[in-house]
Amino acid sequence: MKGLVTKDLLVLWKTSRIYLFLILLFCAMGCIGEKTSWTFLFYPVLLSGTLAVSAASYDERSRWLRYSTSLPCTRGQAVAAKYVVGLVCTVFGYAVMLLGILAAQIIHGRLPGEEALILLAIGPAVAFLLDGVMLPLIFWLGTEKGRVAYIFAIIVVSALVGFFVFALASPEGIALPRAAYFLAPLCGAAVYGASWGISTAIYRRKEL
Amino acid sequence: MTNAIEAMGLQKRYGSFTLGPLSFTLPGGCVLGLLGENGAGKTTTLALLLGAVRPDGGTVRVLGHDFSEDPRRWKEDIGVVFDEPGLPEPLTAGELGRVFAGIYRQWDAAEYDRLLRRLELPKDKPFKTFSRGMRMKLGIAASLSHRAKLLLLDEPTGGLDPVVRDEVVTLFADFTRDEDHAILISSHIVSDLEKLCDYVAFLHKGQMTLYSEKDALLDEYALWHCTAAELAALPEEAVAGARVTEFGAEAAVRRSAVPRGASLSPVTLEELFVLSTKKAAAKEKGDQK
Repeated sequence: MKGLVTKDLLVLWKTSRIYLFLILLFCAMGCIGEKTSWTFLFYPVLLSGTLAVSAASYDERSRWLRYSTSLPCTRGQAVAAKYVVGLVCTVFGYAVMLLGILAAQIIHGRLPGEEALILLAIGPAVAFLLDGVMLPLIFWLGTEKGRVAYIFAIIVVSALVGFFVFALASPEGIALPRAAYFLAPLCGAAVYGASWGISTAIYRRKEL
Repeated sequence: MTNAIEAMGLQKRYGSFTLGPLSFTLPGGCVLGLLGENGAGKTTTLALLLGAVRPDGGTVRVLGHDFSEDPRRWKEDIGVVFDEPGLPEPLTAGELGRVFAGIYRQWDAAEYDRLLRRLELPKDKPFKTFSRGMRMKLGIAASLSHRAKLLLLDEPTGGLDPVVRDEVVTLFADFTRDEDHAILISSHIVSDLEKLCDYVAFLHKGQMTLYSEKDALLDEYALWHCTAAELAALPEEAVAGARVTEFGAEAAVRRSAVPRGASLSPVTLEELFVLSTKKAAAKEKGDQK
């Protein structure tokens, strides 16, 4: 599986530099700007989270899926590689977001407080949710047919993020207990884990 | 010596197309050529051997393993080249070496480098910039760099110029010098198969119309230029196939069945394949009527 993960990370490194640029750009916008610009700090983790889906698209375009049937790897390992890559990318995006929060603190001389808590809790939860929904669809339908579902998922997740972020951040909005902030990433991780199992079951039955 | 491949009644259905039932063996140390027109089922046969698709019937053992077994146990010993190599487009040959080193326990980086040099493939250019010939050569280099015992090759010489094709065929011939090594190769280029194969199998619309040792087949059959009447006098099973025109007939026939003194010339694998495929197609049309 090490080779499969290496392959995906190398492919992403060579093809997704524009994503890296956007991630850094959003991070900069999020920490330099004033008032609501902190919401830009969501994008590093969201964009990073979608990279596993991009890696799956490249596999399909290169006809790697058929080639992979000749390799000494199980279908479970092929699925696991994508989820590990998704995890690595999400952790990377999370690290960038953390740096952005720290930079915002240094630049503006204050802790973003409630906003930071929302970012740290909801960011990874949403990234896990996005991959968790998308990867089984990609393994089931392929990237071409899964594209519509992908766009739909992005719209739904973005709308949900928008709603929760503003509802949580505004003074007259929803007041969630502190525990909910800690539970959010855990729920996202649980969805991610369940999704991993579903993708493995789908891919084991798939004819390539 | 064990058989590299044992297929018994292997069958796969896709709508109106049915592959098989196919039964054949590839003895260790031998090369089996799979000949068939487009859509005959060659690629599906390879997919069945790799466990990429599930058979609707029959059994197959590859290097003694059932494909329901953990692929990590048996695919280490198999090298595969598809008609489209299927390697990641953005990666260079050097990067692919790193990827394969993480996949195959038996990956031989020195052998890979040697093959890249021998096949004149650059290590630092992305796969997407390669010509079709270079792509195939890289697929072949990868398949030969992890000490495989069995090569499954789907049109590996398609799109290669004659010089490169000759070089690649030589590589495969070198591979089979080891008596533990075997190759199953599907190709349209019959001359390549003629050079390499010990066994041949003809596929036509999913059915195996012939499976035989190549030399025995070429000894058994000959090309007979005769009249239509002379041909009609032969029993049907003695005629592998024929081309009948108003000027006479050209038939691939069993040497033992033709009248004494008949003028026979050696038949090539290509002639035998074309004539027998035409016979199978004509028989199908007749059956449909």
